[in-house]
Amino acid sequence: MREWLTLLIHPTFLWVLIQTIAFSLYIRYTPAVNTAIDRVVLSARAAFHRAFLWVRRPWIAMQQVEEMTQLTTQLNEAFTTLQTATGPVSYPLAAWGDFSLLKTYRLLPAEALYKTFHLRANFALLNKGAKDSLYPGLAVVSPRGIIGIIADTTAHTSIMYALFHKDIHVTAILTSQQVFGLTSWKKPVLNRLQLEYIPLYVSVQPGDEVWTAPNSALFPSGLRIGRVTRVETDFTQGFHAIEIATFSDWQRNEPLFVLVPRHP
Amino acid sequence: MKVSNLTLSLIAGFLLLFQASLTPLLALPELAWPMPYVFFWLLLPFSWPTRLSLLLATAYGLLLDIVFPPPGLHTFCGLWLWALRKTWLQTLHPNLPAEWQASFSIDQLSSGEFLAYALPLTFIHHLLYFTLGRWSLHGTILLQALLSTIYTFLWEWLIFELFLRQKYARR
Repeated sequence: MREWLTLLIHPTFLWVLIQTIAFSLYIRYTPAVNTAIDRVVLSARAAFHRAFLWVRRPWIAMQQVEEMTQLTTQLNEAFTTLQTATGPVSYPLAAWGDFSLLKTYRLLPAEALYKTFHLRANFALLNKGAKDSLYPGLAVVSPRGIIGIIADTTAHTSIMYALFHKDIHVTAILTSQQVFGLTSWKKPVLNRLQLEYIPLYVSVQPGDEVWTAPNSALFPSGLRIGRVTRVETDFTQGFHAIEIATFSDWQRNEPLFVLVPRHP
Repeated sequence: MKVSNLTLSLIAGFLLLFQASLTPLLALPELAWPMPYVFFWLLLPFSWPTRLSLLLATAYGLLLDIVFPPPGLHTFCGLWLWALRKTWLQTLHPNLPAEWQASFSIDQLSSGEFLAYALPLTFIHHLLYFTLGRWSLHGTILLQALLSTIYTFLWEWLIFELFLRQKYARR
């Protein structure tokens, strides 16, 4: 006991202890250091998951082939409908509700190295980063609909906040009624969002589509988000309580595309 | 004669006041900052028990941390200075007698000896401080650390010459 006490009050031990505390204090309260450490951790995590990605790659490829087959079937059906229709036709083609987007954005394919499923702030680690001209604020879509937004980048990787993140809200439009609302993820159920601020006088039906609104700060307008699955009317709130099922599936390994604006 | 406790306290107070009031006025923006508060760590008597000296060095660092952000950085850099000064002094004076710590005091140094003692240690402090403070190391940081070292040393030297150096100091 006495020997331990002697060791504890030894000047060298005290010096190391004080230095550790001082440095921890400095790191704790300095954003630049926190960011640098986050980036090192992020790079290490990316390297780890990149190393294991090749193990999963055959399964991912098989899954993607299956999805491509489904997509081709859908396209064939849509094309047949288009040929036989007498009037204007709208059909759910992949993520785009509005094809004018394709002119102004470049689609950069990306792969999720890692995804979280159990958090209130879910994110994915993508294999594209600043060197691929990504930067925070870019929208990410799957072939079915929007999936997230780039929050941070390193040279070769990026963090994408999912739609299923407590702080991500998207200005959305209820296409059947052309009414604006805001998505949120209040109930922590994956692939389900809440559409808020839709007034009670608006008639909402399950099956109505929800797209990103023209005034969305995060996403370009006209991207598909999801379909209304449940409408509850809460007169105390003054708005509908709407639940939507997202077109993109966070639990599937879907191909991802980052929408990079084309600069003139 | 050794640096008295009163002198040490007065100098500590003066250095803190200097840092709070004069440093912002004297700083050459993006080029050099005078930080003579590091002088306190150099000045702490070697004759004091190590634990007491360490405690005082830490308390001074924490005081600086509280008043001047970022917290922790002053203590961290200052304690490196405190830890290195004895080794550096022994390197400069390899022929010191075995019990030199009991009788040695900074005010016995000549101007040249003080330069050899304080300038490199101040540079180490500034290099650590600027590198950690900016969390980056490149040419500009090195230049700022170097120029600030010279600027700081001028103030340290002034205080040393005006208030500390004994008239009968060696050499």
